[in-house]
Amino acid sequence: MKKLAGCLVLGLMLSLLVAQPVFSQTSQEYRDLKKELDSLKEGQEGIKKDIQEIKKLVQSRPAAGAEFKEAIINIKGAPILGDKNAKLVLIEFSDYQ
Amino acid sequence: MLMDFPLDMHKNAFKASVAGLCAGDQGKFWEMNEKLFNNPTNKPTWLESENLLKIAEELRLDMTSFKACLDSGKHDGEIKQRMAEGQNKAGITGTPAFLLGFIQPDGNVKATKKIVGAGPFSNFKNAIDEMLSKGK
Repeated sequence: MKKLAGCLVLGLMLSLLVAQPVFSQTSQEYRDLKKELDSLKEGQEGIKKDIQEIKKLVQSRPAAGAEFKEAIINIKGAPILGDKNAKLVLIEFSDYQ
Repeated sequence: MLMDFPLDMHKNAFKASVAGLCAGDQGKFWEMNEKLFNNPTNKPTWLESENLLKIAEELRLDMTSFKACLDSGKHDGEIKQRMAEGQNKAGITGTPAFLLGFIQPDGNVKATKKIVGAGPFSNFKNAIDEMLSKGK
């Protein structure tokens, strides 16, 4: 009976000995994870700020950046290539350099 | 269809545009255009008066009227007018830039597509195909 109790105590102590390092390893992992999370959060804040700045830039751009919709262009007298009776016209704005 | 758009930053560009239109007065705009555009020296001197006259001679233009045309300034107005068309109506600021549209009964072009820069052929093909499939 005494032997059995001794075994139990020894077993308990052993399990404590084993459990201790496992627990400390987990808390180390937890700290690492938390650190990683914090640095991720920080990075995200940076990205957020960058996006805000880009948004501001895009919104402040002049009408040139706006999407082209339609324009009535006077082409009178401009040099033409191809069928003079064509319906569809490609206008090239070009210069020499 | 070509609309001259000589940029200030390109030295001699305006004079070269005038030369093209002066050659056009003698029915040789596109011949002059090809010579001016394909500058073999890659230097702005290609577009200086001396060389413009040389090219005109090569194209066998009537030199008296070509010179008179260059000096007259008779094409200056239409070049500026065409630049203004592109700038004011389509927001064009650089070259090359392209507009695609249908001719209207009054002879104007109703442009509904704009292509900026020298893109690949497929850009143009796609835009033209789309316009044609939509019709007027």
